[in-house]
Amino acid sequence: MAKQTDRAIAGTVREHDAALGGLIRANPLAILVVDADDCVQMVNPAFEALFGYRETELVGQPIQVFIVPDKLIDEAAGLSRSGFEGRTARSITQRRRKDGRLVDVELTVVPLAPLATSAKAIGAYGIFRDLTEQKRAERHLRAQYAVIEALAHSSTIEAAALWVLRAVAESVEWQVGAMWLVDKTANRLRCIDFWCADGVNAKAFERETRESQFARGVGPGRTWEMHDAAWIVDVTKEPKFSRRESAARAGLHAAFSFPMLLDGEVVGVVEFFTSMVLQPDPAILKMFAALGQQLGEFVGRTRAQEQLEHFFTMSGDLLCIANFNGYFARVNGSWNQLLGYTTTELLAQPYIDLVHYEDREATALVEASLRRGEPLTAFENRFRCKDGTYRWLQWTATPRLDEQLIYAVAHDTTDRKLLEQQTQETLKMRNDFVSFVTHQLRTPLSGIKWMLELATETTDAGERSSYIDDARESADRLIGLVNDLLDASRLESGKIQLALEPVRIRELTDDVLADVAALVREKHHELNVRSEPNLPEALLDPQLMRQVVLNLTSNAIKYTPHDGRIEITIGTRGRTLYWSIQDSGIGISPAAQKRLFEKFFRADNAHTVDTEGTGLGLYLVRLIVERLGGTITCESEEGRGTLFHVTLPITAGDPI
Amino acid sequence: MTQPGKSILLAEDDRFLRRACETKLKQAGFTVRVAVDGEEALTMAREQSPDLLLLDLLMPRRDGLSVLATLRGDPKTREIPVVIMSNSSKDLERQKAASLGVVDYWIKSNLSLQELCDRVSQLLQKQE
Repeated sequence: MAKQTDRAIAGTVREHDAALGGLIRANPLAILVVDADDCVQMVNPAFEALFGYRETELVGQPIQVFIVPDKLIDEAAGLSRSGFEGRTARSITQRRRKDGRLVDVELTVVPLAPLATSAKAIGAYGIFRDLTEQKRAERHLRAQYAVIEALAHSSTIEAAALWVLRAVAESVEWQVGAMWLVDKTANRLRCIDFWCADGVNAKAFERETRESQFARGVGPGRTWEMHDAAWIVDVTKEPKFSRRESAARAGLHAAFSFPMLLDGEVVGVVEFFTSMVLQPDPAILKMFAALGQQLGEFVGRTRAQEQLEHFFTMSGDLLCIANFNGYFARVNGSWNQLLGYTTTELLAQPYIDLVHYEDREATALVEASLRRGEPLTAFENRFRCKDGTYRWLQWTATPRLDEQLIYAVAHDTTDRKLLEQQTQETLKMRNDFVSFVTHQLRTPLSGIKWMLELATETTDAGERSSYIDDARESADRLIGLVNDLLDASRLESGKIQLALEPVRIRELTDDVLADVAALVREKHHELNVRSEPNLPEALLDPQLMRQVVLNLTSNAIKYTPHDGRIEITIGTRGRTLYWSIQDSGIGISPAAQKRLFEKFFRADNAHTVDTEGTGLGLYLVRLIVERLGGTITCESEEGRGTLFHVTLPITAGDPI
Repeated sequence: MTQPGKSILLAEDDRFLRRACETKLKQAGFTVRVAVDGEEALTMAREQSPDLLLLDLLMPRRDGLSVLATLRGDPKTREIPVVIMSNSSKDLERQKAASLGVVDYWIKSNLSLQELCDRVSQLLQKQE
């Protein structure tokens, strides 16, 4: 009975096993059956598909040897023990495929007990759920997040590189990463950073990587050339991989690289290495295509930023960003170059403090309109330099109301301003010249015209000849003026020819005094000449020298009131001849003294004495003296008198 | 045409122009007195209250505009009719003269003595 029952039970078990076996084989989950020695009894087709082994390869073999990664041996042993001790255990873990790749799985270990009464399990089921897709999605997200964070915190790809390499490598559990940028000038890829996981000795590989440069088509340059990701199953067996020796020493095998793309152009390459020999993984390649795009665009953005930054830094114009509260927020280096302040000094004070006080009101007005949102063009004001001088700046500015900032460009227009002022002065001088000369020419012309009119009308011969004499005298005065203008013009242009000859200066002076003796008498002046005995002859142009003496003497007579004293002193000092004339006349104000030798300049008090002066006399004297190689100076006190002092070289005038 | 006996004060520093004007106006029958600079012009204008002052601008000691301003500031001389006779055609001087109230502003070189004489006659005729 018992035997029959046992047989019946055995038969039931066999039927049960057969049914169970069918269930196992048809199950979409990967299932493994092991005996108490951890040897494989059976695996289902789903297991074969997940791990890449044939059942026949595994049956009778200890399963740990095949699918458990080294680092998880202890964990796997623990799970087995639970099963054999009759407990169900579950773990999220990894197992190794036949091709070496790790698979994320949820592993449930269920004890195998043939009889309910049996205390000890005779084996265990391992049920594997493939978590690859789920894990991959998680890692992908984590890597994306890490990369975004790295880029957000970096202003350049160089600064972000290490973070990015680490985030990506850790997310796929690869051990080494390197980033390369295209150097357009050298037409080479250059390594900008290298990352290596803890516990991997890749020193030599890192050195070689950092020192290498690759042309298009070579090493990472293949990715550059192909514009596409590349995968090497084992770099140590790849003859074209130049760094294979150092890679082998670091224990690296599989590698993949992907391009950093900007508008379809490769700007860089990223490569990763792992210690395993791995077949290409389409999921990884797909994930990094998107990352390559992201990195490429970042490079593009930072380059654009760098270009702007370069503009900002290198611009010769003054660029600045100012707060609505009246302080500079940023200034470029041109401010320092032009004004002499450091950036810190410029940012530390309200900029209005640097504006010329005459321009502050206008500056405050344009600030107010900027704060209302109106852009500014062609505004000019003056900024104080550190050395206390001022520069004219021409402004163009745009406000940003949302940021409460003013973006402004200023251009140094000081030189143009000065030129404008000079031009205005020149124009004014020319106008003064024209109206002055007009007046001076019209007066003798009127004299000639009217005297001739009177001469024509009169019947008295005596009167007529008197009118004609006056007309002639007016004409002479006109000719004198024209000649003076002509002399000035010739001396200015240097066209006048010197006729140098030995001149006795005392005799020349006496000759001139004879000509003006009548005038001296008329005004009852006392005029004396004192000269050294035995004066040497000087090599001068006597005509021009006579003009100098006559002019200075006439001035002294004219601008000294009646009964004045005039003294001429002639002497030598070394090889220099001096000739000076002191009067007791009306004198010249200090302001007028400064401009005395300018063309057409006439001192205000000169007009009160004589309105016929042209403002050319002293100008001509200076031109002649300078032409003869000498100097002329003036000392004077208003109301007391004037001293003109001329020095001349004795030996020679201006060599021709 | 002429108004014999009408008195004219001629202020002109250039001796040729002074002689020509004086001669012509006297021939026309006016009573003419001459001043050779600004100070003299002022003194004579005050003393004589002429029917017309022909005033040059650029003169020694005191220029014409200053003479004019001083005359206009004094009730006794305020009404003396003044014609500026200058060879300067600066706008600024014309404006200053106009603002001080002058009858006219003549450029000497643009006038013949006859024209000058005719204009003076017309002016004095109008005053009557």
